[in-house]
Amino acid sequence: MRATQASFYSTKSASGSGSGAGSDDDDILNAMMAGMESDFTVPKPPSSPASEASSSSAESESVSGSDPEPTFVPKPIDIEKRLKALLPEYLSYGGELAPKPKSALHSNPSSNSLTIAQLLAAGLHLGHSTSLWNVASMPFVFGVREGISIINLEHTLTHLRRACTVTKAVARQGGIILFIGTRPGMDHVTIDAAKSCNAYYVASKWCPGTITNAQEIVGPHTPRQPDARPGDLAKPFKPDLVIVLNPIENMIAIREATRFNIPTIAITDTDVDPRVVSYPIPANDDSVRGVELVAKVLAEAAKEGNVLAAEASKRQSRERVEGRVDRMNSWSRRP
Amino acid sequence: MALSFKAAAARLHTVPDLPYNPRSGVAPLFSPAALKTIYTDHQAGLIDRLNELIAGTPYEDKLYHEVIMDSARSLNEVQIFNNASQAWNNDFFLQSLSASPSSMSDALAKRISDSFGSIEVFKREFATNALGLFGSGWTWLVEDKDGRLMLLNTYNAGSPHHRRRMQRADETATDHDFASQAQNPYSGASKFSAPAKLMANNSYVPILCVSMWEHAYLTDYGVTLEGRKKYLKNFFETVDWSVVDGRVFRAGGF
Repeated sequence: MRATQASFYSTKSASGSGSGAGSDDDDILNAMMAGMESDFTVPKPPSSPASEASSSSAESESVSGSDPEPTFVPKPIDIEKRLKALLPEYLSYGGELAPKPKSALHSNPSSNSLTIAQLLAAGLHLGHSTSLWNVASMPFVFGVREGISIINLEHTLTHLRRACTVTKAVARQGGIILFIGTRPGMDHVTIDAAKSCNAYYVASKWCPGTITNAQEIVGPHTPRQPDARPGDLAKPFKPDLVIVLNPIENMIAIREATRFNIPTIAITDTDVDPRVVSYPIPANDDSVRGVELVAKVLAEAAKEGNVLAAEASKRQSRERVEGRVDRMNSWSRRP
Repeated sequence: MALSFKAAAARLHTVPDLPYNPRSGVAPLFSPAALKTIYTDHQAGLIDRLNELIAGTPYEDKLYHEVIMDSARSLNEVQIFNNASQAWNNDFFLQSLSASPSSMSDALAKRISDSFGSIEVFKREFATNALGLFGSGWTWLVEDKDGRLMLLNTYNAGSPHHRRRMQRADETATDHDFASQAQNPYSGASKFSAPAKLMANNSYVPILCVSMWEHAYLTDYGVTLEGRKKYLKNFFETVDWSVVDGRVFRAGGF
């Protein structure tokens, strides 16, 4: 630092003679600084560690003079690729994330390949106690055993496949699908199912008015339209399909969706009236494994719908481009 | 009811193992007591603090490197970056050491000599850079986009991975002093240091580092200049050059 100060002042003195009004100050400054340059020399350090290690007593050889010159030839490389190649090693340093807790299902099962045995294994046939029975669910009850109603899994499978078809069709049209699953132990089921098919989810409490009072509740979080003037309200979205995994706790959500003519799918147990939703799936809503199976099957159907939508839009854009190219060619061919 | 929360809490970071037994230290660099301070206490403490900080935030599910890169620019997550980066640097440093280190391969020696002139110059300049680091930090050997090997000092928990968090500035120094700093052998900057300003299309690939945090060398070497010089001398004898070799010559390196 002091070396540069000295050099700064020395360069000033070299060019300062012709600076006009400030030259008087420069002369005084130069007179002051003239004798001080010797104070600012950088001292040579004592012998460096490398030479200490070799314990050489010959300090006479100057450090800079005898060093071999670096014979470096710059060869530009793709540094992004280089870092990416080293990334597995870099990821191994620091800390390791604990492995994700494995769910019973490895991948999403498809509704076409589901069997009643799988539904039975997931415990979807176990209804509620007969004293809590809702009469409207009678068509779906197979019988009674040990005081609980047993749900007929043939109906479960049929209704589940129908719900999958609806989900797939909504996803194919690019509709907004909303998964609602608010039981405390099943929030990860809702979140995983929704995230796997680019859908929306409500995993904690359903805020009443999310659909009927959307401007107040969802509006503040909705991004404004790009051509909105300041002061314009945002236009909040409403779902095109609502899938409820525990309808007993979310009756408000179902009622809101029905009021706005949004189709609903729900896992209706024997204590729920299945007629409140458009597409009930009579099944057990208490077993995490069962709810996970149903949610994953529906998510898989939504994913298939997304894939179809992507293919259709690609085909559409290709046809649009080809149409333009064809029209271009036909114009150029005009006599 | 709390099962999902327990499952979420379990998915946090753990301290990785070292290639040597931490209880016996790594000779001649760290005695068992020193290694206990650095690894058993400090590394574990950093990871615990990081887990505390990321629990419940979106950083919970991110891979470790992502945690560093994503929190680097954020004003709110400074502590997350500091802890994560320091733990990464510490682990990077400890994994390069070995109780029975292999010697430098010829290819690596040639590579270093190309950029520095000779291995002695490299060791000398590396030591000078490390001794010039006033305070706590890390001294790195990094590679840039031209394949040149150069030295880098990062203060505190600075990381060569993120261009804005390299923390190279000793606050008493300024950019246009770099030329004079390079001539001052006490400053820790030399002609083999990385340039003061990082070019836009450049990033650094870290190859080797040494910890110049006081807790690293305090137990065995003290705070004196001679102690730190001995620390660096022992460091060069403890580095496992085959690990360094792997980093330099991985796919893309030449």
